[in-house]
Parts: sequence; C-alpha cells; structure tokens
Amino acid sequence: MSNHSVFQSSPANVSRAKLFNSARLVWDLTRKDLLLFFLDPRAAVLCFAIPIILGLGFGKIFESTRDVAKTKLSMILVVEDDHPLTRQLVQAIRQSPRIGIREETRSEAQALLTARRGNVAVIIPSGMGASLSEKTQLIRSKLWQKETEPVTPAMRVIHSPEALLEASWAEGVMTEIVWKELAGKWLASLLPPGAAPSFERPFPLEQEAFPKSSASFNSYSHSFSGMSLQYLLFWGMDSGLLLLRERKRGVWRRLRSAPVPLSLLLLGRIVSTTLVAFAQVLLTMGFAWAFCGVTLQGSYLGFVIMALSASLMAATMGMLVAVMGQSEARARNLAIVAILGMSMIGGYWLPSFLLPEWVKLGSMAFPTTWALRGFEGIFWTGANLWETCRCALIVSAYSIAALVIAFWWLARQETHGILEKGQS
Amino acid sequence: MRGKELWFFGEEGVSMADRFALEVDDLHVRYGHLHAVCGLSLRLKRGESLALLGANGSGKSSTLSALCGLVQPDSGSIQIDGISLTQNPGLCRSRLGVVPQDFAFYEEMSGRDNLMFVGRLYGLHGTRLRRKVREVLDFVRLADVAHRPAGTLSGGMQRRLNLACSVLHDPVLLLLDEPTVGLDMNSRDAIYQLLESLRDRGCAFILTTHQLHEAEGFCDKVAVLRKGVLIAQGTLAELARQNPQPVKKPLHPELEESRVDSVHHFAHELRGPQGTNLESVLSRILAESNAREVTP
Repeated sequence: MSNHSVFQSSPANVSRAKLFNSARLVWDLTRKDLLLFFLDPRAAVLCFAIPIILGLGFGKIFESTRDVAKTKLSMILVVEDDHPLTRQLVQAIRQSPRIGIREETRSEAQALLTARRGNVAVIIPSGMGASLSEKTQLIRSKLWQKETEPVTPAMRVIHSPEALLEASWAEGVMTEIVWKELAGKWLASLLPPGAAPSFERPFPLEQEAFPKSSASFNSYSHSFSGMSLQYLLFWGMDSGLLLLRERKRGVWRRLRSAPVPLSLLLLGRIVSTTLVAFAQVLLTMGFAWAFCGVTLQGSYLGFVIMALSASLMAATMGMLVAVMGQSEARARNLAIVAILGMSMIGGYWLPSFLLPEWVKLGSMAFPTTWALRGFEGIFWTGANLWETCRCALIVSAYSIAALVIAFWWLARQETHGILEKGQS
Repeated sequence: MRGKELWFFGEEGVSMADRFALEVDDLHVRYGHLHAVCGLSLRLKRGESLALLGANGSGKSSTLSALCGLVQPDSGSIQIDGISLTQNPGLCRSRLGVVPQDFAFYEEMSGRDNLMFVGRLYGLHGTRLRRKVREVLDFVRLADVAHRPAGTLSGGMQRRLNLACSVLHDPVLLLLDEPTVGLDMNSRDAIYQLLESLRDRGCAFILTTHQLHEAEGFCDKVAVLRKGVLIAQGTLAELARQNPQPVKKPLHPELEESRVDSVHHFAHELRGPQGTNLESVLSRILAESNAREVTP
C-alpha cells in the first residue's frame, strides 16, 4: 500500500493510516541513517571505542583516590636545618600516612613548582630545631616566659597559585606532626613517672561516604559516566552536522521536495542518533562493568530509562546547535563551546564536589548535570528508581524543548527562504 | 497504457489529459525587501517542456524552490496536476520530481540503496519498490553498476542516478536545475534521450540551463525571467513576436546587487552556437526590457 492511498480511504481510516505511514517513514529515514553509519565500519568501531578509551584514561588518573585511607598529599620537603630535633621531626613527617614526600633543595623545589611538577613545598628553615629545643628546655625547667621566648624562624609553605587546598592540607598536617612531637617533651614533667605518653586523637572518629553506596567509590564509575555522556554530545553534534551537509548538497532539496513533512525528517534523524547513542552507552558501561569493576548500584530499569533520555538529549542538542549554527563551520564552533562548557560545568571531567559552589549552583540549569547525576546515582550512590526517573524526566524535558525550538527554527528558515538565500 | 501508469495517484473518473501538469498564478516570493519572484504565471501541459532562462539572480532558483515547496510564497497559487501545493503539499509533492544541480544522493550508499530509500519516501514498498528500482536502473542504464557506492561512479553516471532518483515515483512534473552541467557531449545526449523518453510518457518538464542550444533543441517553450519578472514566454516563434513585460526599477537597489541582468552579462552566461535563433531573440527581448524599465 502506498502512503498516498490513504487519501482514497474512508475518513475513519485516514488518521490511522496516516499514523502508520508516518511511523513507517520515520523508520525508513532511521534505517537510512543507520545504513550510512555502518557503511564505514572503522568509523563505527571508533565511535564505540573512543568513550571507552576516554573512560579508562580518566578512571586511571583518579584511581589513586579510590581508597580514602590511602589518600596522600604529594609534597616537596626542603630541610635547611641539621638540628637533632629537626631530624626527629623529618623522621615523623616521613612516617606520616597522610603525605608522600620528596626531599629537595630550596632552588630545586622552586624549579619543580615553576615547571608544575609539584604543587606544594614545605621549607624547614635553618635554626628552627635549635629554637624549638631551647623553648622545650625553658618549658621543662619551668622558666618559660612569653617575653623571653626565643624567636623561631618561620616554616614556609610555598605552592602553585591554584593549589590553595593542598597548601592548607600541608599546613594542617605539618602542625599536627610538630605538635605531636613537641607535646611529648613539653608535657612529660606532668605525667607520672614511667607513664608512656600517647598523643593520638583523644576521641574516636568515624568517616563514611554519604549517600551510602553498597560498594566503595570506583573512580571508573565517574569517568565512564562522564566520558560516555560527553562523547554522546559529540555524537549528537556530528549527527546535526550531517543535516547541514545534506542541506549544503542537493540531498536536502530532494528530501524536502518529497512528500515527507519536516517534522518527520527531523524525527527520523533524532531516532537514528538516539539509537546509536543508546548503543554507545550500553557498550561503554558494559565494558566498565566487565573490566573495571563498575557495578550497577541502582535499578536496571532506571539505567535503561536514563540511558535513553541521555541519548535523546545528545540527539536533540546536536540538532538544535546545527540548526542555530546554519553553516557547518559556525555550528561546529558553537557546538564545541557548548559541549566543552556543559561537560566541564556538569562535572564530566572532574567530580562536581571539586568545583566551586557557584559553578555547582549554576550547573543545575544544564541537562548535562542532571544526566550525570542520574548515571552516578545508578553506578555509584545507589539511587532508587524514582530518583533516577526524576533526573531522566528533567533531561527529557530539556530534550523536548530543544527539539521544538530546532523544528520551529528550521521551519522559520524555510518559510523566510533563509536556507535558499543564506539570509539571516 | 504507460501513460496511465505514470499517474497511478490520480482520482478515478477525472480525465488526466484535461489537467495541466503545472498552473502557477501571480506568484510572489520575497526575502525581506528583495522581491525575488514578482507576479509569475505559468501553465504547462503534460508532456510539455519549458526552459526557464535568466541571468544569475533573476529568480530562477527561487521559482524552482517555490514550486517544490522549499520556499513559502508570499502570495499566488501553485497547482501541480490540479492539486494545490498550499492546501495539499504532501499529495502535490508526490507528483513532483526534482533534479537538483548538485548530486542529490548519498555518495556512500550504492545506487540501488539510494533508489530504495527515495522510493520509500514516496510510499513505495516491498515487491513494487524492487520492481520500480529495477525498471529505473534499466531505464538509466545503471543496472550493472547499481551495487557500487554512488560516489565512485563517473560524472555522467552520477547525473543519471540523480535523474533516476527523481523519476522513480513517476512524477507528473519534473523540475531540472541544469541537469547536464559539467558533462561531456555524449553524457549530455544520454541525459536528453532519457528526458525525451520521459516526455513521451507524459511527464512535463521545467528546465533551467545556460546552454541555449539545449533549451532550443529540447524544450517546447521558453520563459525568460528578469529581476523576478517573467518578461516573455512562449515558443521560439511566439517569442520572436513578443514585446517584453515591463520591469520595475528596484526600490532598494543595494539589495539587488547580486542580480546581474545586463544584456552583456546574460549573453555571456548563456552559451550556444553564435547565431542561434534563441540567442538573437533573447538579446532583443532583454535590450527592450532594459530600455522599458519603469519607475514603481
């Protein structure tokens, strides 16, 4: 039956036949796009492999932070003092589980910071050990007075301009170590004879991640979710650019002169892009599950819903950027800015808790943030189906809005002959 | 009988021969201040062919775009096979074939896959689609290379595939935008043989070309556009007797810079053997049109 025969049918059958023909047209357009996609098998393989490679790379970078107990601050230590007390302090620093040190001279430490091969250096200045030792003697002999206290040269913490957090951490750890060492000496006279002083934390402390997950944090959960979503956006852009390429060549003229409404043409492209994107998510997260220990903490159904909504987001955003860009070069630049910006703000590269508060707040306005939240809920924090569906709904709402705007924009361009004359 | 096959979409009881393949009345297309098509009226019967001539920016492309529904006309009516393009665009487009100047197929896909895809857009499926694809491939003599990616075919073959994609659904009206550009003489002849065969089966054509001898040799009628106005139309004999329609001077000359319409440029753009009847007729019409330009 041709789609035209519906016009000869009774009115009762017309809408049903139209719906059937529309669905068949969308499928025909989708099938054509899928055929084009798989006609270049190497490109298709790369399309599935790249998010896996990116996820592996980023996961490896953050893998060291997987066990919080083993988290160490890398620090350069410059020791310019040879006093026995200083040597004792350096020994305690070396044994600290919180820092990993590399001992260098002051000039080498500065060179390393300049070359960005280190973030923080602590300098123990000459005379520090003697001064602290003298102070200890005064305290132990009960002759200490504030006015007669010897001047202690300052310990210096130098750091890269962006490493304020690490500098604060170094300051805290150094203070803790020096205090522990000196407290034993200063308070020894107060303890009963023979008592072994212990200056560990005088209260119990429990640490746990919240929301709780049944598994500990796996850096690959974040990296595969983030990189997979970022690559979806690039795939969406690529698909949108294909539309512009069709428009530049005669293919668009053929498509538009065929008895196919613009809405179905766009829908066909959206469906094919979404299907390929969905396959990308399945393969990427399947790889992460099989080889990187990423486990599904949330609902299976939630994962499917979230993956579909994220794929739809990629397809519609790509379409919108392409339509707004009008030319391939303009659309590509626009898309790169949009994708990299949304990826960064959405926490695809770095976990969002590392981002400043205002960025975290602003990121709520982007669908990419909600997509990542949904994925992290599934693979990390163990969100339930309702929580995942909430994220999926928000992402889908953005997608539908993008599709409506893209359709309106393209229809407007056609109506005003902008496509024909390149006028804006 | 073959003619009947061409119009399988037609309603029963309506005499096909009585219908015009194309009726355009007082068509206006504007892009902002630019009046691209100004009051164009055309009639074309089945099996008739019309060459649309004009310099760059004269409104040829805009006319074709409006006819295939790519541009929304500001006013006027277009009827293809008696069906209004505005009221029933889907049905109208199903009776229209478009051969764009650029290759309008997917180079990565084989010729057969391209045809199968286009056929599905026009509602052909299953056995009927496969039969039509086979027939059209034989018709354009591409059956032997139908499995090859379209981008690997020669220029002439690609032009024939472009044409095949446009006639697969047996259109009543075919719009051709310079269908032989960049082809050698043999390939051009092959294209025109195919077109003549289609015309014999009742298909009407509108053809834009810069080759005067092609327009003169192949088309029944010629229409000349200048600044969006159809200044003359008819057979060569009719054109020789006609005075051009007046053209208004532009209200916004700065918007019309792209319209190169002097006689010199027009003659330079149109190529044909010197002394062609059509060339001399066009030169006279354009010269008179230039002289008779009126202030709006």
